[in-house]
Amino acid sequence: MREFFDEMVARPLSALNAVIEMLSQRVEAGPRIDGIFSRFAHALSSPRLRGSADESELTWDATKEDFMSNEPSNNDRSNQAINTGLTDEDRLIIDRVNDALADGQALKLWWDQKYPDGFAEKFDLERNFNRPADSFGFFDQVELAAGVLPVMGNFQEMFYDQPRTPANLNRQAAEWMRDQIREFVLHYFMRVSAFRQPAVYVQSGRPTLPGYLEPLSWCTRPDVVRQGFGFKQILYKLRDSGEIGKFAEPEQSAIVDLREIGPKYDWIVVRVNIFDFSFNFQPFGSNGPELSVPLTEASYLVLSRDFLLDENNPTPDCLGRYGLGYAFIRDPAEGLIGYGPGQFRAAIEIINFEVSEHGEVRVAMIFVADRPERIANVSLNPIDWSLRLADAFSVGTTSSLLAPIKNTLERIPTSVDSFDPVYSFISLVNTLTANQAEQQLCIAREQLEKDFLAQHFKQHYTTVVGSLLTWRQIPNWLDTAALPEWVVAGKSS
Amino acid sequence: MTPSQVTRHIFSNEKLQMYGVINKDRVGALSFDAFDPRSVMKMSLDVMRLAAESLRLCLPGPNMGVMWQEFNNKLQAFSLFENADSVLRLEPGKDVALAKLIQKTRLMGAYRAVWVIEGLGHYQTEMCWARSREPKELLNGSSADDLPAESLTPLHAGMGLSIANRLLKTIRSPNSQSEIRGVLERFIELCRHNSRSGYLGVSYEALGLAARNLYPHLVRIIDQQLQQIDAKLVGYFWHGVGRAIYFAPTNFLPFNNSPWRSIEMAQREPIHEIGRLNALAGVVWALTLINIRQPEILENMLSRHRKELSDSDALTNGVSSAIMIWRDSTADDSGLDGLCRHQPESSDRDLVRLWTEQILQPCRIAVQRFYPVIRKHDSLGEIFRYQSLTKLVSKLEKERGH
Repeated sequence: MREFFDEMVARPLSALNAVIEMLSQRVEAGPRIDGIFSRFAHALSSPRLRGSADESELTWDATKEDFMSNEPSNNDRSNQAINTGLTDEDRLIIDRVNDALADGQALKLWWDQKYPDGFAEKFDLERNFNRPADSFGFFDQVELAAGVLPVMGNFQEMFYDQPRTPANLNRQAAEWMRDQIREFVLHYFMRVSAFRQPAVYVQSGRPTLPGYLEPLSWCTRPDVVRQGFGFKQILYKLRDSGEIGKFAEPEQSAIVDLREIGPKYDWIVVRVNIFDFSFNFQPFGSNGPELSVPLTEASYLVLSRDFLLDENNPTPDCLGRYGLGYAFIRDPAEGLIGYGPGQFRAAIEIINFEVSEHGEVRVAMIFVADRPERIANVSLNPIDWSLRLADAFSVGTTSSLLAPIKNTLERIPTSVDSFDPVYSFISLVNTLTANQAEQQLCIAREQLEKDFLAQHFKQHYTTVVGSLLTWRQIPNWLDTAALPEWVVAGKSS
Repeated sequence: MTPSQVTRHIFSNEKLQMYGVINKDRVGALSFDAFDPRSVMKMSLDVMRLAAESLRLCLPGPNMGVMWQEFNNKLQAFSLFENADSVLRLEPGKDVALAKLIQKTRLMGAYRAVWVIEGLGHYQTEMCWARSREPKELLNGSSADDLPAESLTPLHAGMGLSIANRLLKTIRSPNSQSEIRGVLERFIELCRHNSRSGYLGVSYEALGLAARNLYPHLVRIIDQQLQQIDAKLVGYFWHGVGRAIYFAPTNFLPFNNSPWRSIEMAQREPIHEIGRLNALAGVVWALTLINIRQPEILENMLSRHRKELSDSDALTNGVSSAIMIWRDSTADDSGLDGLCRHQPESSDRDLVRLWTEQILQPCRIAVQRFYPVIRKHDSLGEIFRYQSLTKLVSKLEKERGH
């Protein structure tokens, strides 16, 4: 039976997978066609290795470990993790912290060396009218400990706020502004960076309907539209004892004062829910159907002293620079989306505020991440399909019940990899049109990457503008006693 | 072979067993193996050969005949390589001593035997991967002591292909220089651990073939990394790329002068002169070996590319090296003598002169003078890259003098 399955199902699927993989590679049309046909022919006609196959693909796959894989490269889960509240997922995250930090530090160092004009390819991302602002995107390569990583990213700098005071009070106001910004950025920004848009709500006056009638009702219902970033602190490592622990549930929204990272904490891991962030793909042009995938999955980030900025009077014309930043931790689980928050191989985000001698506040946001190798992961494994389908119908219980069977089935060397329909489509179209699709219609990987950066730009713009509303609501950020509960608790909406 | 002979050959009892139409364990019973993709592929290749043979005979013009013959030869070599296990009726997963299998190939004629042995080298290495992850001392260990000398070149070539393919398959980030470098260093290490010293170049060269046709997006970065690891390896690599270009699917079908387009591609694809010379030598090398029984194919190629080919000695190098490999792998094959005696029947005096200067004379020198020295010094691997054979032989002789 297994032999039959290997030959009649697995072999053709492997051939198909090999072809699809070739379609998503960056190579000229001629060699690509050669690659497609050679792989297809080889996959279909290569010898059967039955009898020895129990060890074949599986054991080989085990040697594929590298820094681009979805596994941590050094399994140095700390023995100091004494908090008994740690879940398996927490432990997987802890395993990845050191790698994420090392890569993040390398990216930060690289950024500091390259900014502003050292990038291999720099391009405009947006246009501003009547507002002093600067932004650009870039492509380049970074040498990380485990190898060279192609990266992309964007930088955006914009006006944030300024004091409105008589000229004779300028200096005093500027220093007041500096102290306020410092407190806001380092203590409260991460607590209040998620917010809800005002909900449009016309009171209908009708009684609450039973569930089965709700879909038929025309009465207005409030929609919750969240924007920005919703941070929750999950894990920490204490500096002195090295103890790794988990923040208690009530503390999770009240992100620690970032000035404690360094003196008290070696690092903290936060989980971010990025609201209103989706990837849109229109394979048949702007008038055609659109695939919109909301990237709402939680992503884990690690904050350490390396990404924080806390400088008073760094230069004569600058009263202070304050900022926060983090490295992204790759999710242990691979989802449908192969790129984006949670799926970066290495990425950092830095948000820095600067207060000028006149009290003007500007904010700069830096994002650096690996260039995507794939956008989506569609499994070609029928076992995986069946289990996922069963999971969907059993509200996730199938996975746990059938875990042993699934593990056994996965050892059979019939599992073929996943493929990326998005990049495969781009490659296929360009192969068929001798790259005219890229040249004339912008159907290209690079275009998708720039779209992603533009989307990222808009997301951060919205977050910063949203935080401005919160920033202005509080008359004095240093008056702890007067701060509203939702700011202190970090439950802004 | 006439079409009826080919048909008989294809649908012989032996072949029907091979395709899985007839159950080989139960006489007279039908088998469903015929419907598995591998059997379908195998049968398709043979049907294509039948079609090629028919077209060769039916289509007018000597050039058409030459092209269809060349297509047929390529199909045959590919089919024998990929299906070596079926040709030798190996049971999947069952161990049989390599020397015994080589012995079996002696019955099938020198030409077929070479491709089957190369396929065996590949098959044995794949089996090794499947069992113990990595091949160890595959062709240089004590278990390989009894292998006949003439089987060593094709066995190394097949082994090199398996190692290259298995390692290149693991690459996750085609742009990661460190990852590629790691894989290449592993490839070199595995070749060293499994090859006999004189055949190391044979294993190295297979990297170019695997990369160009199965992982073409990696060719540039592999070239860059090899330059840093060992510049000598660049020559082997591009020689393999040239061989791959000859076998590339876009050059497979005999339309639009596709077989001869490989010469132009071998000059266009490499990004430096060493690459071009080696790729050109590699194309000619493969073309010579595949079509050694029909010298008119080589003559046709020479007549179409006389300028490009006379600009450098890559043609001569490719032909001479191929002839020496053939001599080493099939000592008693008559095809070699046929090539060395062939004279163009053309009134084109320039072509006759070129044939004599670029093919005939170098072939005779290669067989009579170079090959004995290279063989004696166990340096056959050296001719899997472009280099002056005269200098190589002088160097080897000088070393012998010391």
